[in-house]
Amino acid sequence: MSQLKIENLHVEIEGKEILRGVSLEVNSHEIHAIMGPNGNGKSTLLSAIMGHPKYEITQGTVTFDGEDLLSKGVDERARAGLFLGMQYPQEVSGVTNSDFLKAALNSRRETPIPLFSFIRLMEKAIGELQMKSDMAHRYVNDGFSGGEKKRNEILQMMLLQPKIAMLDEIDSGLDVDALKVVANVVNDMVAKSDVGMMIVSHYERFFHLIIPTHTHILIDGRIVMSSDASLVNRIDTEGYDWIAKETGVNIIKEDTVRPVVGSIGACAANEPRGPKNA
Amino acid sequence: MREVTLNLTSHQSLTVANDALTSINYMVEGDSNLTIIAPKRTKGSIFLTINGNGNLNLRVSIESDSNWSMLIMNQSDLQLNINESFSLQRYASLQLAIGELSLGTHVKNSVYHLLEEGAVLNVRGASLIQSKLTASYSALHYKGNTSAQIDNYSIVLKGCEYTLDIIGNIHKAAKGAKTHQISRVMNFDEKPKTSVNPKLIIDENDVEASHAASVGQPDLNQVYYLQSRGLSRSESLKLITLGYLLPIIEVIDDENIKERLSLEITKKVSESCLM
Repeated sequence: MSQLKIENLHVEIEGKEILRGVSLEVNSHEIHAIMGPNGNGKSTLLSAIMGHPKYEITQGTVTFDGEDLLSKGVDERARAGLFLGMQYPQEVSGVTNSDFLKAALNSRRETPIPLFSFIRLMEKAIGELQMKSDMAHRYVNDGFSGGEKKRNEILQMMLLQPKIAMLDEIDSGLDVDALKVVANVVNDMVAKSDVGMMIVSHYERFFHLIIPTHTHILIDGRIVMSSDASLVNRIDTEGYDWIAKETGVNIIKEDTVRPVVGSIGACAANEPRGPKNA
Repeated sequence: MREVTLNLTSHQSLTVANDALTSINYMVEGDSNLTIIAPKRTKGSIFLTINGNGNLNLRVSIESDSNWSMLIMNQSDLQLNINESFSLQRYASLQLAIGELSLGTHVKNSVYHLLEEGAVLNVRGASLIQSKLTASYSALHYKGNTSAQIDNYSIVLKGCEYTLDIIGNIHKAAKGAKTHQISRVMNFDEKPKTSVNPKLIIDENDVEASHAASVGQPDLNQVYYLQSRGLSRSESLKLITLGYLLPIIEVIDDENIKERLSLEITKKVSESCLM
């Protein structure tokens, strides 16, 4: 059984505070829906937990199975069992999906995965996701459609079998049929493994296919309301304004917030990780 | 396809056999000359591995109506100066892959003569600069409807130097000629000593010519993405480097050479220090 515990998390990007004290606990078998208007900190929360070097954690703690996560590098977090399905998956030209996935699997193993086992594993996952069979031989996300990129994220999650998976708007770019395929795979994974999930989406339709055990509303860098799946339905019909009125918070309009993180920059990978004041 | 293997040194001239893979292990000793002739109406593959120390004059002649693939691997970890001259006759076609993956200090001057109508040249270079490489590639179009595509993908490691001059020259009377270049360099040094100088010299109308050159550092968004799947920074950089260099094998038709080249690049990248 696994647990991701976030306490009083404050995160800045280029000096602007985006998260202002988020606390959350995600356990195995739980599905946490993170909802909220655009530009209020949902993606920042997931990226900061994964360790994106542009996000500076100024306060708070994150532990994974009792161990401090923030002192670990991105790759160590991944090998510990954390996964982030990204909103904008990176293209890596020249590197095939199969070489990439093999390297990712081997990074978690003492001895390399036998080729036959790897092929069987990959073909099974490709079949379940109804992806094209040439997917393994194509370069990572290079020339992929939006939907193919998102399925490729789910493919990686299936093979890497994380303990806690975070999905950032994984539903955007997927048509109705693809959405069902991805939802079935996610539901199946939750039912058959000990994985816990944090799923960010601002489309309610995804949470009609994947029923969350918990729903959190993130506005202006804080979780202002938490409930069960019923909250999704209310947002579906009434939007977020009623929450702002009830809780007294201001919804941040996307065009007034921080610069979007598009590029890490040349020196970012050497930046120290962990809380600024640690 | 049958395979012929030759171990050569000093001054040599040879005619390659039709419909065969000719593997040549060539040792440079002082001033050396090697001439390779692919006769008229032949096809096949040539795999040339170069070792040693000194000066090499390499002449390759692809005669008319021939279709050849060639891989040149420079494996010399020593000082080496190479002057290469390739001549392509009427409707001759050459797919050329060049691997510069050694620890040596090399100066290289390659001239491709597209002598007659219909000659087609396709060059793909993969360089892992671990010391110093000064290279020049020139495609000279003498006649019409000749075509040259020269692509170079290079990685320059910390403390190393790379100079690349790349020239497309379309002469008068070469109507319909096409000359294109792509030069991409990835530096692992924050203060790199890299210079890429593309040049197009056009002396005729009704031609196609282009050059694209980029010099940069590894894309750290890619590094982050790979690390988020569990690969260490070092493993991520190696995978990105392989992704940069390995597409060179697409130039080669022969599966045997493809496999050898792929293994060689993977081995060299694994052995190198990319951090």
